[in-house]
This record gives sequence, structure tokens and C-alpha cells, in this order.
Amino acid sequence: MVRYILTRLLGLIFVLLVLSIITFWLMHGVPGGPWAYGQQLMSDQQLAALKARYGLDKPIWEQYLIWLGGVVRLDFGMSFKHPDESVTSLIGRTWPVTLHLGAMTLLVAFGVGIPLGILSAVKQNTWVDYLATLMSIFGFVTPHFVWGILFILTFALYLKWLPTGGWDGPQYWVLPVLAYAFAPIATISRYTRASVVEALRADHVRTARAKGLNERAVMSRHVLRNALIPMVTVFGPLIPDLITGSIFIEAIFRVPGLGSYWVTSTFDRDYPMIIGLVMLWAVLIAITYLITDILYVFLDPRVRFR
Amino acid sequence: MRRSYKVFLVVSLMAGLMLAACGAPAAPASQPAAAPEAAAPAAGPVVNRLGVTLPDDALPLDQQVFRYPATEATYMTWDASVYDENEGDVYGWADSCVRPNKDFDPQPNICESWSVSEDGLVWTFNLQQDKVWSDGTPLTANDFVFTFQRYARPDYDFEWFYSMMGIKNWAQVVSGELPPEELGVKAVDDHTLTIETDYPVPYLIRIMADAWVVPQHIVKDRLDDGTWSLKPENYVSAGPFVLESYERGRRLTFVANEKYTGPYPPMVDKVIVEFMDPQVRFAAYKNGELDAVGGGYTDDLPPSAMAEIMANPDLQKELISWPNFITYYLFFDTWNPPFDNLQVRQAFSHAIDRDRIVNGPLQYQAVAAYSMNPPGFPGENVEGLKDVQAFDPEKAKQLLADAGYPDGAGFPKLTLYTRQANPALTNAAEAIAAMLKTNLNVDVEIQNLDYGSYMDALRAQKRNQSGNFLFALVPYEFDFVDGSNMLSVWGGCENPDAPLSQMPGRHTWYNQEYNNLLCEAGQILGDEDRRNELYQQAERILIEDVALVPIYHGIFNALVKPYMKGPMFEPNSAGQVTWNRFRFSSRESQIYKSSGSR
Repeated sequence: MVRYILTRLLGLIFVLLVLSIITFWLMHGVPGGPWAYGQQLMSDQQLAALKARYGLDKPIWEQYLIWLGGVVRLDFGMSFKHPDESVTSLIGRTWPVTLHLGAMTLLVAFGVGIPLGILSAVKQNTWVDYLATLMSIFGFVTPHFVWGILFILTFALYLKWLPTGGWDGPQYWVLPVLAYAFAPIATISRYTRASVVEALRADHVRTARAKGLNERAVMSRHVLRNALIPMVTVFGPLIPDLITGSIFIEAIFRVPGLGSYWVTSTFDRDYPMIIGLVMLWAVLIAITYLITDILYVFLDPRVRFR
Repeated sequence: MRRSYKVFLVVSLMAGLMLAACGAPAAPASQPAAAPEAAAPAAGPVVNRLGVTLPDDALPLDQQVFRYPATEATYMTWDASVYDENEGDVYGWADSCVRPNKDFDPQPNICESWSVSEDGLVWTFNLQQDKVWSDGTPLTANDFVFTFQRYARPDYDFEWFYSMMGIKNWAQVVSGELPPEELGVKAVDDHTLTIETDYPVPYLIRIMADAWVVPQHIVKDRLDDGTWSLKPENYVSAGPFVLESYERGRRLTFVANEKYTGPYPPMVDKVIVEFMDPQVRFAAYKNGELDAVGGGYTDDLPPSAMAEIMANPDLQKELISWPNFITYYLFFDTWNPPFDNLQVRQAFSHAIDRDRIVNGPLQYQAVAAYSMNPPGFPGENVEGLKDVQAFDPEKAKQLLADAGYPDGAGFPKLTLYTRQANPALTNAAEAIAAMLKTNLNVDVEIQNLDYGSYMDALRAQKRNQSGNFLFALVPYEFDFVDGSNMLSVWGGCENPDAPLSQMPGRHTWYNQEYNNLLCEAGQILGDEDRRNELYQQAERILIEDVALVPIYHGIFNALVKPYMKGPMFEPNSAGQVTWNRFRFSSRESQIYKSSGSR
């Protein structure tokens, strides 16, 4: 298994290299630059001075090699938008906030989604199931920024219970977590329901019941454990998505996290930040899939590393 | 058995719901320093930390906190970047040679008095003797000299603005041909500053309102890229406020500057600038988390918010509307077909019904524009020009037919570019496209570009005649109140040997007579009437040659809680409240929180 993990990690390095080359060329291909644009046209002299300031006067391959040389030493460069912060320290400043928000959202999403899914599977085709389905459909089809605005209107402006945004204490956490959790609750509860329903119909469950096992043992040992395998496949990738933040949630609720940088770094042409984030995302996704694959071994005795 | 399973499910579901609620506080959220709607004034007179006694109806000092929203920018000072700055000038932590009053007229500030030599080429400024930085260091004429040397560097984004002052050796210092000491800004002694210009510059004193002085003892390096401003130990101020804390991504907190000695002592004790997206500011304002919103050409109050305000008498009372000196206009590539044909441009200018735009999609956000200079701007000729491009669809059709495109036949499909459009601008662009289709049968699609892409395309159009940026909609907002300013978008003093691509102005339109008029008017000292007469002649050329099709002048809308009081909220001589423009940058920006209402 160690060998398997090492092979996968080596493959990841190759993937990151190719990805970084593609990203580097793409982001430099977009017109515009990291400098602030005013109302008037820049002179040739000004443009040249600005390019030199950001090191953009060198050929693109040279810029890439400089960047790569830094990465080898774990130096991802200085952010253009925050010139006194390196990309790593900027991520180090903002990501904990987003992680905090994401972790709370994950807790709520799984804490609500899984029981809801199990409940509607067990109570299949009853009003409980229909209600859960209805909620899930709402969760799926309504973007989280719509929930966000709705919650602000209801809980801040109408009921006056909570502030409209900010990140200065627990009362500021409630609305963004709720708005952010709705869609994953829907995803989780639907997949949980489907997996459990399928497992409930399996022959071995009938066998377990036939041999007189009590219902709790049937559910926990035979149904849920088998239902977990398809769930892990779907739920794994939800995690990097939630812990890297959403520009909508963070912008609407004034959360000073990483989420907005996924978009603003592109608008700002903050090249070191763009490529730093792409690398971060790629590593997170790769590690999540790796962990998911390893989890299969523990959940499904038929899967073995070769 | 089944029952116990049910219990397990119910318990886990409840656990989930409790997790969802675990962040909820027991008590309602406390709003920091929220001003009560009907608060009692302080028991005795309120005296702030500078010793300024606030008016009788002032709330206690701990409630003298003014909260305002902004978008977080990169730098912390004007000399680092004007277009990517956390607006220290607006929030009053910077200070300048002169400060405008609410009528936009420069008033003494650090510069207590000034004079111009007979030939108009040398300005002398006498500085306040006891002015100090917030760390106690005296502020001298050398700080101003250093400030201008910092402005004169090639990678500074506002260099072009100060180049309009005509300062001696400016271009040579910017390009590095001459050392900075050769710049025509000199300190005669610690409190006397002189500025020598290449030609008379009658509006120089107005630009001195934006001479936001830099602490030389802190910055030291003339060519610093602006990162000096990002170190907390560098936050010394000459203005009425000084930075108390900068919480990245969250807020800036300014506090009254105890060392301030100028003519503009602050009244509020703190100014808190909350970083937030424009879309959420209106809600935060309504929830009492902010004391004011709006003002800039951001989207704080989009059309939907304006509709809500106009339907709500309480909010309407808090609304301050100011017709800003800003013009949104269509421009063409007049050096390439089809817009090299004057008749085509005229056809376009008569095909757009501005009234329908400003009474429809841009209601409360704009007034119709038929000229570059907006109403109330020096040298404007709004009345005289409003018929030149009047809406006349029949005439428009005829002109397009005369130009060889009867009923739009054979006319190329156009792309109308917009620059980082907000909802209002997008609405306007769509209305324009629809009118061009209806009245001229010309097909127009709209493409929005981000700011950088747009300005790169505009630059390429002028400098390289790229020919792919034929038709676009863009605003220009004034930089200073002088007849020369907004017309400079289209030209200025030209170098007769320069190729077309290097002619002054940002657009692909050229007219020698226009340039000569601007050049002549720009150098007349002491005869504003003559100057404005020449600007009117120039603008007539601009409008008759349809260099542009003016569409609307934007209105700045702001909401300010009624308990905020101060001279800035009283109308100026034109009957307008100019708070939206100045905030803390005027002499009359002293505001405080009262127990009553405006």
C-alpha cells in the first residue's frame, strides 16, 4: 500500500507540472495587467516601467522558469495585489477563516444530510420521504447566494436577530454556514437515500433479517456499511469544494476568507496568486481522491492494492 | 426493535439540527457602536481628544464613530496608487496643500497663502509654521518637494495628472534624463515652496488640492513602488485622522489625530471603513451597521435599491443626490470605416433617445447628456449644444441612407463594448442597442470587458490603430473643476511632429483646431471668461463633428443616517449637497453624530 501511495504521489508531481504550464500560459494570454488602470491611456514609458516592476518584461518561458525555481524552494512569489505578502502567507492568512467556515458547513451538511437520507430511505414513499425530497430539490436548484440574500432579509433586516455580515464572533457564523450548507445537505441526503435503499434490497440484508438479527444490527452492520461505499465516492470531492470557500458566500456575508480570491485574483491579474491557487486546488483534489481510494480498502474487503 | 432504530434516527437528526444551530448566540447580535434612533445628547459638552467642543446636540464621545463601506484596495497612500488606494484622502488621514470648500473652490490649508509671478510661471506657497506629522516631526516644504518628485516617476499611475501642471522639467525627470533635483518644485526655506512651470497654468491651484503630502522622513526612497505604505510603523498622518488599525480583509479604523493643528479639526472621534461588496451595503445600512452608503460610481445603490428608496418616505429623507461631473458617452473609431464618415456618426447621434434612457432604465441615476461638459461645470455650454445631436429618428435614417446604408443595408454588425459595467450601465447599453436596431436597423451586440482588458484595447486602438475597437460606451469623471479637464479627453496642446497615434487625448479622433483652442485657453491667466469662451468653441467642434455621442451624466446617490450632521450636509451655492464627492476631503467635512436629525 505504501508503494501504491508513493506511485500516486509521483504521478501527482507530473500532473502539477503539466497543469502549471497550461495555467501559466493561459493566464498570461489574457489581455490586461496587474497594475491599476486609470482613466487615461498609459504612455509607452509607463507601460514598460510597470512591466519591469512586476517582472513581466522577460520572455514568458523565462518567467515560468523563475516561478518554477521558486516553487522548488516552496516560494510561490509575492502577491501582486498584496505586494507585502507572499502567496503562501496570504493563503495562510485567509484560508483558516475559510477552513473554519467550511468545517462548520461540513459538520452541518453531514450532520443533517446523512440522517435525513437514512430517514427517507427507511420511510421510503411516505410523507417523510416526500418532504425530505422536496427540501433536497430546493437545496439543489437554489444557488447558495440566493439563500444568503433570503437569510439576510429574514434574520437580519426583518427579525433583527443577526448582523448582515462580518466575521467577528459566533453570531456572524450562523447565516453563512446555513446558506452554504443547503446544497451539500441536498446532495448528501439524496445519495445517502439512494445508497441505503439499494442496500436495503440486497440479498444479504434479507439473509441477515432471516437469520433473526435485530434491526439495529442489520442497519449498522449490513445496510449502512455497504451503503457507505458509493457515498464515499461522492462525498470525498465535496470536502475540498467546501473548505476552499465560495466567493458568493464570502462576499455576501463579508467573510475575510480565501473564497473571493479564486475570482478576484483573475480580475486583478495577480498571476502568482492565480497559479498558487490552481496548484493548491489540484493538490487538494488529488489528495482527496487518494484518500477516497484508500478508504475503499477499509470499507470493501473486495478492493485490494496490487 | 424497529422503535429503537427510530429513536436512533430521531436523535441523530436532532443532533444534526443542533449542530446547525450551535453557532447561534443566546442573545441578539450586538451592533458595535450602533447609534440609537432616539438617543439623548451627552450630559455636558462633548469635547473630543483634540479639545474641539462639539455642538450641543452631539452624542457622547464614545458614540462619535462614523462607519462607512468601501472595497479593499492594495495601497494605503495616494502617492503609491490613485486607482488602487484605500482612499486615505477621502477618509482624511492624508492632508494637502489646499482643500476645496463645498463649492469646489480651493481654500487655504497647509498652504496658508500663495501668489503667482507676473508672467504666471512661478507660484509661491507659504506653509503653516506649526504643522507636524502625527509622530511629531515638523512638516516642511521639503516634504512637498519630495512628494512631487515621487509623483514624477514613470510607473506611477497618476503621473499623467500632475503632468498637467506643466511643471518645469517634469517629463525629463519622469524619464530619468534629469535628476529629480532639477524638477521645478523647490523649497525656498522650511515653510516656502515654489513651483516653476513651462507655461502659465491657471488651474494649478486646483491641482494643488490633490498635492497629498508624503512624509519624507518615513518614505525616504523616491522610487519606492508604494510598499512603504503597507508597513504599520509607517502610518504617520498629516490629516485630521490617523490610522489606528488595519485589519486585512475586514476594516480600517481611523481615530482623530491629536497632533493635528490645521484649519480643519475633526469632530467625530473615529471613522471605521468596513470592507464589503457593493451589493450588500444597502442591507447593512438598513440594518444599522453603517452610517452612510453610496457616493462613488459603485453599485451601492443599484436601480433596485433606488426604487425601494423612492417608495419609502423615511429612506427618501436620508437620500442625498448629487449630479456628478461625469459623462457617459459613445465613441467611435473615426479613423476607420464605417465611422470615418461624419454622416454615419451623425445618424447615430440622432438615433438615441436619451430621455427614454434616463426616465426608464436609469431613473434616479442619470440626466440626459448632449455635451461633454456637464451642467454646472466651468465652460459648459449645455443649453447651447443640446440641439446639435437632438433625437430625430427620421433625420437619423436619412443620414444613414445618404452615407450609403439605406435602412441599414450593408452596415457591418457592431459590437458595443462596455467597461466593467454595473447594472445601470448594462441597462443603458441594452437600450442603446435596441434604439439603433429600431431607428437605423443596425445590429449591435454588447460585450462587457473588465477594466484592464478595456483600457488595453482602448490604448491599442489609439497607439496601433488595431481597428477592432470601433464602437464603445465609457464614462469620464472630472479630476478637477476647470474647463480644461473633461475636454482634455479629446485633445490638448499638440506636438506638430507627432504621429496621429501620439496626439493628446485617449480616443481615435483628431482635430487640429480643437487642439489649438484647448492649448490657447489652457495658458490664459486671470481671464476665466475668455478661457471658458474658447472651451465653448472647442466643445462645439467636438459635438458637431460627433467625436462622441454623450448619453448621460451620472447622479451620485448616497444615503446618510439623519443623525449625522455637519456643514457638508448643507447645500452649497448651487443648491447641492456635495458630500457624495468630498466625504472627508473638503474643508467643510467636519461631521458629528447628533441626538436629533437633519
